[in-house]
Amino acid sequence: MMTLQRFLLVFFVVAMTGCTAFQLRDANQALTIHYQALESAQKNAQWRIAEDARVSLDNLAKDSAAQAEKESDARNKIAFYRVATIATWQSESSELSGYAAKGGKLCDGENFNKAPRDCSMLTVVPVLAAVDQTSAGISQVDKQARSGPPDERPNYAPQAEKLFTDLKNNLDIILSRRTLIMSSNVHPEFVLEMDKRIEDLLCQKMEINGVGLLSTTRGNVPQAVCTVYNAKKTAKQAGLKASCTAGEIAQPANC
Amino acid sequence: MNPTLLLFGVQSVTRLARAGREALEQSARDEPAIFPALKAVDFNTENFVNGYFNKPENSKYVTGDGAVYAEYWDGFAVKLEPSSIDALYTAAVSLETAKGGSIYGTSTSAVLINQWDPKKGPISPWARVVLTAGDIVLDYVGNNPGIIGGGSGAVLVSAYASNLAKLIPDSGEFGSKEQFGQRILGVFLRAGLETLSENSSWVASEKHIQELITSSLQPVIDQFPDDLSGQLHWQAVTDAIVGPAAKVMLTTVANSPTTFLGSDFSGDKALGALTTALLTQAAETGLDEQFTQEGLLGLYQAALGVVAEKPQLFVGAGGRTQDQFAKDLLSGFATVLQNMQPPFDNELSTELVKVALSTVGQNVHRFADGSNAWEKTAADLVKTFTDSFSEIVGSGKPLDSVFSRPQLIELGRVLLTNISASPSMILESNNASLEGILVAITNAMKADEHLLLSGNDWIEIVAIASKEAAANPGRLFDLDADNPDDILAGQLITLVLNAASEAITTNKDKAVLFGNTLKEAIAIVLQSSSGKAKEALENLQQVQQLLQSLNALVAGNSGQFGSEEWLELFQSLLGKALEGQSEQGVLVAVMNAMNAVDDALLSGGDWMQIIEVAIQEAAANPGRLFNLDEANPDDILAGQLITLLLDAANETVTANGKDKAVLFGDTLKEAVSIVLRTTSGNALAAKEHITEIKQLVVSLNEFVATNNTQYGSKEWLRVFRVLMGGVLENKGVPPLVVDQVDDILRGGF
Repeated sequence: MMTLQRFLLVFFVVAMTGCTAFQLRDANQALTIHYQALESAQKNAQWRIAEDARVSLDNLAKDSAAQAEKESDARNKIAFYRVATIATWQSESSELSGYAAKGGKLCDGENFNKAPRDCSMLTVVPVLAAVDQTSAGISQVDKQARSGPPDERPNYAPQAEKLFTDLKNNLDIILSRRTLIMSSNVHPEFVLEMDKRIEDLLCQKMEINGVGLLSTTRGNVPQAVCTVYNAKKTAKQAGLKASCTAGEIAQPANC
Repeated sequence: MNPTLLLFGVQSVTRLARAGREALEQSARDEPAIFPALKAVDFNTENFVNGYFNKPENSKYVTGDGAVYAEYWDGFAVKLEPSSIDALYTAAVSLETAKGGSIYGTSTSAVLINQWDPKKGPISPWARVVLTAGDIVLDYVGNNPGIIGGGSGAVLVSAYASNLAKLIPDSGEFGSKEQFGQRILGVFLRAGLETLSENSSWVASEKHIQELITSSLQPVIDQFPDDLSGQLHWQAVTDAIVGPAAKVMLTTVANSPTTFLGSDFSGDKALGALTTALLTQAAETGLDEQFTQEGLLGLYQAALGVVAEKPQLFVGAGGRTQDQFAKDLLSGFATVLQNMQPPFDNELSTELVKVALSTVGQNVHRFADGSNAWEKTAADLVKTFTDSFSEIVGSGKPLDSVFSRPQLIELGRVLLTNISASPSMILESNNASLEGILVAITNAMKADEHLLLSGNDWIEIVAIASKEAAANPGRLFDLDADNPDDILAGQLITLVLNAASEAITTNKDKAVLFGNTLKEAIAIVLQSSSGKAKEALENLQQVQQLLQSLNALVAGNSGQFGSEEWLELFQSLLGKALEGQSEQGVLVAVMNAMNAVDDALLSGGDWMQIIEVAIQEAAANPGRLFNLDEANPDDILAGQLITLLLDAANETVTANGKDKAVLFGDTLKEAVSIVLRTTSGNALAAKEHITEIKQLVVSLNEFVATNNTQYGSKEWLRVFRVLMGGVLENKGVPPLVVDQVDDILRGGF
């Protein structure tokens, strides 16, 4: 009996020498908790709580990034950078691209399939964060445009054009990265969720919100509609199954 | 404490701890992680309707002819009136509802996502710990077999443990090759334990078993391809075949432990070579309908059987390596099996291969000189055999109505066993002898139009034919290259079959030459003629006549003669016929006599004895009593004499009844014998005094019938014998009175 106890003791001492596993588990759980807190606060317009959540997420991002630097195992580094990147995305900090780039560098050909979900997230999260920024921009410009006199609406058309172009560029980037992710060992549910977000970008944000804003600001609507039509065709060819690409895609006049 | 054990313990703890830490980290990395949703753009109805009605599929509602909501639309946007915005928003909601959709489109929400595709992910973290722990246990068990108890099962598990431990990398990274090795070792263990349970008495040392596993499986593992498609193919084949193959192999080993485990010969290396060859063959040809798993395993089993029986045959004969030899053996037979024609399917062919390997293997010491590819000889034998029988099927003969599948295998076994017992037939004649037998038999089979012989009959005929061919090579079964169908044995068998067909056609109810009788007749022909091939060839006509006469005799006198008598007569008369001496006269004489009168006074046995005497007399005095005049065959003297006796016997039985008459049964048979014996050396006198002979018989009959209280058959025969001599010496027939008869009986005449 004593022998067994000694054995277990030695085992745990040796096993627990590095506590990366616990740190990573904690970071992951913290990310989920802070995210849910932020989402709930935003939904209920609890701005102070939302701000606290953002601060927590920002701190989590910094701690995770610091831990990533210390890790020797590439898979652990990638995991910590994934936490840092997502936390930064939600805290709307400017550090996001840096963390994502450091983590993304580790996701070379060989390592991508050693942590396929983490690498896939590091690949698409910067794009999705950019889409969120654009969405916020659309909300802001739309609000400004509608709050002024009608004849001043065209003044906002250039901003609307830029926001629409940003959406289009983000779509192109995420579609190109989608191919790499599809061929990896990532869980199929990630691909499904990624495609839902691409569908949201294409069918809602570009086609309704982006074109709607151009229309509201009297921008070049026919050109935007034609751009959306071409984007739908490209996405469908890439294998995306979205509500606005189902069946025969309606072609706009003069496109 | 044992220092080695202490060191082992420390190493084990370190390994396990490392594996545990790795597992914890992997577990943390693989925890589900949150994937946030995209944020939505703030909703307002004007922005929405502008976007919605600018969609190409919706613009028709606000612009162009018939646009129902055109009044609310201006250019590319909704009119800046709250009523227009509200109207179009209501219209959009209505349109989307009608389509079953929603104006809110697709919305996303945050979800937790796992790291890996379940189909492509690595083994679970805790499975790694378990495997590492298992590896430590395997190491320990491999070094200390006693821990799992005694017996041969423990020995095998220990040997297995050592091999598996070698295959599990300390790093915990399990590549495809390692996984493959584990898998086949797993099936090896399962098969091994099954085998051990069936052979519980088998006991072997651990070292031997380890070597057995290593030498038989390691070459297979080593050949595992590097490229992915090659791996998949190789894996599919091995998954299907390694388990059954291992069982076959271990069964063979269990049945012959001294061959594989106890001698100087490295039988286990032969196992390795054969096992590798088996898998290579399976990978090359695939396992399809042409060459099934069962077929390949059957071939493997047969080859292993030869290893067990004659291990020295596998020591790389003819300068070949053992691996090359095993490959040649399996590929040679695989080629034969793949080219089989009906009725030989995979199963049947494999059984024949087993027979060939087994029989040639058992006899190979008689002709294997080290340079001969004996496995090729065995394959050629099977090919020759199956080609011949496939040809029969090709000619339209319904072989399946004659032979069942087991019978076809038995046929092959009988033939190959006898053939391989005479190595010179195989090696010196390039299979000509086998071909000779096969041509003879298959030609004869074709001649058996009425299917008078069963499959078993043919098997016995083949057995006799092959034995005779082995005993007297190059006679009955000599192949003439110019006319391969002219094989004497074939001609003889065909003669018998044709005679049988003729008899059946002529009188189906009374013919006896079919089935067992026919088989026996063919056996008699082959056995009688194998030492007299030259004579047989010259006297085929005599044989044919004999067959026809016997058929006629038996058919015409079915009351007296049956198949037994037919065979007895055939056995007696065939030798003479083969020497050109026709005994046709004897048979015709007997037939004439039997046909002339009601022959119910003599039994079949009596007639057989009469024929026997007739044959003896005919042999002693040829060309007299039994001289056959082709123009008038009824004029045979012997026939007339026998008829004379039969007539007289009939008359006296009719006149006096059997109470007073004596000339029937044994007495009549004896009387016929006396006539034949006394007249055979003096046919001319017999012919001249035939009337007196009849008078003598009639007188004697009357005398005995009148004095039946004093005289019987014995007296009749004694007086007849004495007075026949006198008749033939021109002394005539004396008056028969009591005193004179008594005098004769006393010997005074």
